[in-house]
Amino acid sequence: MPTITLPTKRIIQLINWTDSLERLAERIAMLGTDVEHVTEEEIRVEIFPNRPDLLSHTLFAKALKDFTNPHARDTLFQPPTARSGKKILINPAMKRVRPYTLAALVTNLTLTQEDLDLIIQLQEKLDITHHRNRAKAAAGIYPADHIAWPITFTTINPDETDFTPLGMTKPIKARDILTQHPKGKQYAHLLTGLNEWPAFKDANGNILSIPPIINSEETGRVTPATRSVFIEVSGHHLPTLRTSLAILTATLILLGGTLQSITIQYPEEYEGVHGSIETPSFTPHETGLSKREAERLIGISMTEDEFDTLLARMGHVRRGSIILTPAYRADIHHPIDIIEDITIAYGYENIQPSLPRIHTNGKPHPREEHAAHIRNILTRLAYHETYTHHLIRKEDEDTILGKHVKPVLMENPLTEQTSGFRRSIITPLLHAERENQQEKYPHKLFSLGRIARVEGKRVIEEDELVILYADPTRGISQLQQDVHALFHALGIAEDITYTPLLSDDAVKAFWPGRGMIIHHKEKEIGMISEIKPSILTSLGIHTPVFIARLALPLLPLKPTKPYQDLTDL
Amino acid sequence: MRLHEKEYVERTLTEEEQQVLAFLKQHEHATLDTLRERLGMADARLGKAILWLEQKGLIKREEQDERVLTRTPKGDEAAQHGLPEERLAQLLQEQSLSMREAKHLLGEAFNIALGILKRANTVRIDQGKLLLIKPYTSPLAQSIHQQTLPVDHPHAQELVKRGLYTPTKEKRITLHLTEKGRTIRIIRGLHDSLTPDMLRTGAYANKRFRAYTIAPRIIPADAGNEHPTTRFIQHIRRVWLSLGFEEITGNLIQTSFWNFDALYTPQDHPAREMHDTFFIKNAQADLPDAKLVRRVKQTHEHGWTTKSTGWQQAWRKREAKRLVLRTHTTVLSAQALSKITTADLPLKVFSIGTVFRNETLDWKHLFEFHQVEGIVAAPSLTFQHLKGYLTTFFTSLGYEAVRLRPAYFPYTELSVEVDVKIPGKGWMELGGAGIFRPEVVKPLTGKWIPVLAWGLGLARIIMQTYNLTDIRDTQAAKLSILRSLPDPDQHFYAKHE
Repeated sequence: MPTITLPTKRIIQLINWTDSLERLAERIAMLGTDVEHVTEEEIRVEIFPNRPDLLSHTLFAKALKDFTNPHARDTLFQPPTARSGKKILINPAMKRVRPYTLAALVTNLTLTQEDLDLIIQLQEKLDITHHRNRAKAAAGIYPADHIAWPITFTTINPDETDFTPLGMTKPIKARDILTQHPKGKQYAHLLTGLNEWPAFKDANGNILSIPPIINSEETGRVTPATRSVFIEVSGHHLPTLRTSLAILTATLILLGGTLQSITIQYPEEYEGVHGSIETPSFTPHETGLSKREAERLIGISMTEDEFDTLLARMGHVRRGSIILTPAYRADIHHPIDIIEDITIAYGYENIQPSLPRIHTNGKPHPREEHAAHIRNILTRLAYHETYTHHLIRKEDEDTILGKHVKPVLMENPLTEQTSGFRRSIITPLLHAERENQQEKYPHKLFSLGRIARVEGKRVIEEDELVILYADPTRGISQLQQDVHALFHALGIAEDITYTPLLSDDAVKAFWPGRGMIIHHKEKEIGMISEIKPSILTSLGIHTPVFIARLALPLLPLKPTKPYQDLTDL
Repeated sequence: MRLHEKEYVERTLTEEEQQVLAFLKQHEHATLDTLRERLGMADARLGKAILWLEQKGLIKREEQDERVLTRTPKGDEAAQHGLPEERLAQLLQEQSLSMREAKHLLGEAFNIALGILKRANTVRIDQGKLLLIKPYTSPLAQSIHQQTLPVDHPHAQELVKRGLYTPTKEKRITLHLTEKGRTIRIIRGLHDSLTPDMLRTGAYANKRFRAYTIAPRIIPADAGNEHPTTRFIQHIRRVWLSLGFEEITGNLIQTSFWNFDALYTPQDHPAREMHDTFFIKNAQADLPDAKLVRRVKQTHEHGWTTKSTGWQQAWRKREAKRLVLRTHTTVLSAQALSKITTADLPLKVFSIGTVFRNETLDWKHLFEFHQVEGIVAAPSLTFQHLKGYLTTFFTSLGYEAVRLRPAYFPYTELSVEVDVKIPGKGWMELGGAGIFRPEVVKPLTGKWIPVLAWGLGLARIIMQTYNLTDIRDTQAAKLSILRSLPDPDQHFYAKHE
């Protein structure tokens, strides 16, 4: 989630705040952001990704001002628009390069350096989230004064075009931006390998920018002296472009600018949009929602007047059975999104908790009950349950288990320590024993849980129980007694048989001749073995270790006989 | 039957304690050396007996620094092999030797040895040969066998000069009988154990038994325990079961379809990027039945019949098929919803399980942790009820206040962040909750039903319960931690008092 920093004084001035900073912080949180801190100097908040409009300092202030106004009315943002008569022509080739652009002109501006910095912050945060690191869309803002109209949105050959990117003094070959300019390096993956690049060119043939990378140094630098700006967004996803253009334009209008629309001339045959369109569009989103529907889901009742006020406090307005929402909101997919806004305005803190009158029976899952039962038996035998991680370094496990079982491997682990999903709990439990060498003996540990492997191309998940016994003086008979006590407690001891363990094929760390295979009614359910001294030495363990490994689902709970009634005796 | 304190003490005395005490009763006081010499007891047993008698207040120890002569390594050598002058005399007694031969046999000590024998008039040199005149016994012969000698020893000066002894300080320990010790009787013939034989024959009746002493430091016996995190989970299970919820469970490795797509998370959502989620590189899985997949696809692309706009972008099966380690237990709730019919309503299910995040392990971050998940589905549910369940749950864990804040998750609307109040510390964020979006519910169930849902992380609340500061300790494998953490129920009971 993106975090933004806003100057406290400016926000207080924009919303006429007179209460304390604590109250301000609380209101900002209850509007629907994650507040990091509010100090005399700055407000730091995380903005949820569904509300890119709140990344703008002026839209943030407007939202907060409406939200904190108990008598809010007519808050829907719908600026007057005049046609500028200016045009952007779309080259049909753009369909395969960068299909869409939308644009606007804002004039009569007086911008401070602070405003400019906050607009740059807005652009950067939009890029990270709403624009998906510019893969989906990118925006540019230019001083409008030096542009010769009409602009064309067209392709260039990056190897034959000279261009001076913002921040450089001399022109370079367009393709060299990707290796020489910081923004070029950052977004190189978006253009690398392409031989047709998108560009905005003005009527004099000057390249205004190469989206989604960078503006031109000559025509793309906005300063506090700039009075009117040209704003464009371009990319692959029209709904994203519409929202972004509305956010950027509204931000400047709220700083006192005057909006003028631009005509975008698309080819007649074009997917999604064709012919002339006038942008930006501040036509509100329309959502059908009745007061009754909202009341039913929230669990409150409102008067018509209260309903309208709650809507207005979130920037919406009601027209008949339709709710109008400003064009810069990206999060209204469904009437339920309006219901959430109403609840936020009502205040989550004002909702009375209650439980529905629903009767159901609690029911534990047999797998969890079974595990709990086994844990209970082992703890009675004085074993400690030990946490073992599901993820492990694949090579560490190869050393202990061998390589015959195919592990589930991670595509992108942050560290080698999490490169594979454990194939058995044996390795992590041996690692736990290594950590415990300074502790008083005997060590009696167990861990149960999920293991996984790949067979063919499929993942198999299973449950496993591993028990570890380590003591300088006592040996396998102690562990065997304890494991047999487990079988006894489960009621299956009389069906258990043991055969000698003669190979380390199943577990490389097990010591042939010094272990046994455990069978329940002829079916192999596990093994018990001393760990080979060479393995112990390689792990740095200096005490004999014994391990029992059991397939958890194969440890059945024998049904106990029902109690006989005393009268039957 | 009641023992008086004095008699109790008398009965606790071991054979060794009795011997030491008896000696002191006779002599009033004695040095440690004297006791060692006179009682002929192994040092360890004597030391233990003295310590216990001191602890019982029957004897008192006095320590004094004493100046003594301590034997040097050179002295040790002389004690073992004899003084050089004695060795020379011995050799000459067997046969006469030339000066060269004698020098060769005695080495460096030859000159000193010869000088001493000459002064004692016991040796004569004749034509370069050494001849013994009369047998020789050194006046030091007895003394050299003592490790230490008193400083006023008659030969002190010579011994020190020859480097056989050196003056040092030594602790001299004297043990005195105390007033209490004086009154204690020594009871002979106490029995240590009651044996089956005595019980059978009745012989115990005319025997006296030793009393038990209380050890000063008792090391607890090692009881086995469930892992602290498991114990906490079991407690939470009981809470949800008691509220009438059915427990569900499922796989840790899931398709992106269940983990993300069925939960209306767009295919280009940042959470689906590499750095957050563990993707599996060497396995595949199938998608569920085609009808459900089609509904989800259409919902993502344009809203299907949910009245939603959808994400308005193409939805790809290939992306949905990618396997992940589940990032939330919400995947289980989605699967539960996909299996129900109207007859199963109202539905109340919960699960507690491991979820994964692609992180590096440190004191603040885990790459796997536990979540508790729950959903309630019924036609009449409201946001009030969501607040009701969350409040009831946390109240039953002993937290006094629960706060809900607006939040955002792709699969819920309304969405809330859940905080609980920690006395003296303020609000602690515990996870997310909300009402499942129609874009989630309708594709899974075929119709819109309000579904309350929550997914709460357990690590922070476990840390808070056990007072841990390192999040890794919630996954401890160290016996020192496993043996020492108390039962979480203690904390819960304490909170309810």
